[in-house]
Amino acid sequence: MSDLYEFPADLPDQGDDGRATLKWAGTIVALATLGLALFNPTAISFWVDDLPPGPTNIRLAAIGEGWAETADRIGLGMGHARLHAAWKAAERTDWKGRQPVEMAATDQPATP
Amino acid sequence: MLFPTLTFGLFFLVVFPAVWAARSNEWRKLLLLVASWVFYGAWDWRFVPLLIGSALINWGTAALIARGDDARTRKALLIGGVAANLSVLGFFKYFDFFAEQAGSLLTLFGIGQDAPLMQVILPVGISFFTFQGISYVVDVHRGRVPAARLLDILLLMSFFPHLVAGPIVRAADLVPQFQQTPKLNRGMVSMGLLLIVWGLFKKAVIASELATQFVDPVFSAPSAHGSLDLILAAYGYAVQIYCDFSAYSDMAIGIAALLGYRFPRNFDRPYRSASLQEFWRRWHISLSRWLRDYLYIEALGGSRGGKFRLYRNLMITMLLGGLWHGAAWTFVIWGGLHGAALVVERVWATSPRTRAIVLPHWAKVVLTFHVVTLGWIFFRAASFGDALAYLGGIVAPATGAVTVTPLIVLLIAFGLAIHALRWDSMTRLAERLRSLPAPALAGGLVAVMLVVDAMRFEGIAPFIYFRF
Repeated sequence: MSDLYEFPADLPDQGDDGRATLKWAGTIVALATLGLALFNPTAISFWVDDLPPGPTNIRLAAIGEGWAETADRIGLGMGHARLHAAWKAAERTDWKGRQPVEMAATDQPATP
Repeated sequence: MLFPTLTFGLFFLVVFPAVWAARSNEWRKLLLLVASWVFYGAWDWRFVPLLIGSALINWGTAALIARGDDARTRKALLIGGVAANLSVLGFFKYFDFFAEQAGSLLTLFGIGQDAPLMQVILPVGISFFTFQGISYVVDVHRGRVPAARLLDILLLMSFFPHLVAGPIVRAADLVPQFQQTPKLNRGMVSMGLLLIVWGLFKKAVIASELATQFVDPVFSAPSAHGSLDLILAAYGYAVQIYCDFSAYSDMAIGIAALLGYRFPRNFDRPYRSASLQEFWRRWHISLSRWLRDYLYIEALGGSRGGKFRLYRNLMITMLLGGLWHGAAWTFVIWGGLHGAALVVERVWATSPRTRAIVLPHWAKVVLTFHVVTLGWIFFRAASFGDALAYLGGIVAPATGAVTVTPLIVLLIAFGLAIHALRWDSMTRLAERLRSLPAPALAGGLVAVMLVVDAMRFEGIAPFIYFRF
């Protein structure tokens, strides 16, 4: 085999390296950030909870929790929660397709 | 500040627009330099001056070498520069290890005394940035690259995407990119995003799940597990370390691409290798190339001087390559095992008695994978004794528990199956993504990242290679 030394991000140049591409990339980053904040609100509240305590972080934690509760009420995080519960169930499933009952019950997604 | 965390996400959300809004290339580089120091300082601010000092030494040495006319002076400067880098690495990474070994040796001769351990804290990424510094000084001495400006060298050694766990990007690859205003095209963006998401999946789902749910418990108490668990945990660790380390490299390459810079490939489906030599062309490519170019060829003379010198040089290179990974005998043994296997391969290929015996390709792949996995047992074990106990458990009659779950077997199988993908699968997918409108690509990204986040183990374990 050849001695590979490639640059994976080098795709064939199509002359699209102007401001329009920057705008395109910026829009993707902004929309993806917004989407993740909308549909995965618990990630924000968990992250804020892990910050060192202080007046600013207490305010941030309150905002994070408030947003998580609102998102939970309107069902924005439901898809993520269901998928997470399914993954946790798969984690515990043994070779006969069984899983411990008492643990399985705790992983059900909260109903909105 | 780990890549797959919200903290890094927020950091990048500030850096990305700031860098692209910079008025000039010089401002862009300054911004990236400050961002890189903030990124590094998030682990321990005390080591930021070490990083700056290391860059200053390499910049100064290379500048003096480039100006020097006298070959002996240039050679002396080269030796001084390499020695300075090795001293930094030696002190922070190996001082306690060698002090401990010296203490044990003295005890053996009846001169028992406690070794003067200093409990030196290992700065994150020191093995990577010192190797980068050495390659720069050697390349300037050899005339492969011109001496670069201070800002470029500071950024070369501090650039946050590769700073803590590589790839080891050489001056010849990155400095010319720093000297020009970077441009972003759709191909780089789509490939960058794809590599980040793929890396996130490999790290957060495969590597973390395998580590926390199976590999770590089995390796911490091998005697409590049956042979099947031990064999599968060894395979599991082979998949885990690949998915962990290649994930970091993928994300580093992807993040650099979003900032307009190109990093070289660091992994190329290593477990499809049909020989150890091929494995080292596919695994941690930037390190194996570094060891080949600067240690095996430059310092030891490579294959010049006959076959016994070649075998000796291979062994030395791999033993030192093992020691590079950490100050422990298990890493030396791991390197020695790879060195011995490389020597056996060479002898096998050249000896008239064995040359005629040709295994089918699939058998060579299976054999190579098992030699590599055997090496990983020493690499992963806490001590040589633990590794032997682990191997003993594999060959002994099964008495311990079998704890492996269907999900773990599926993840191991998946981690191996991805080696069957075409080499250009990622590029072909990126080619398709580059033509999508921004909302569609962002929507797809959100969907995939939500799936990954839902599947990942709570929290993120540090990358294995951070401690190297």
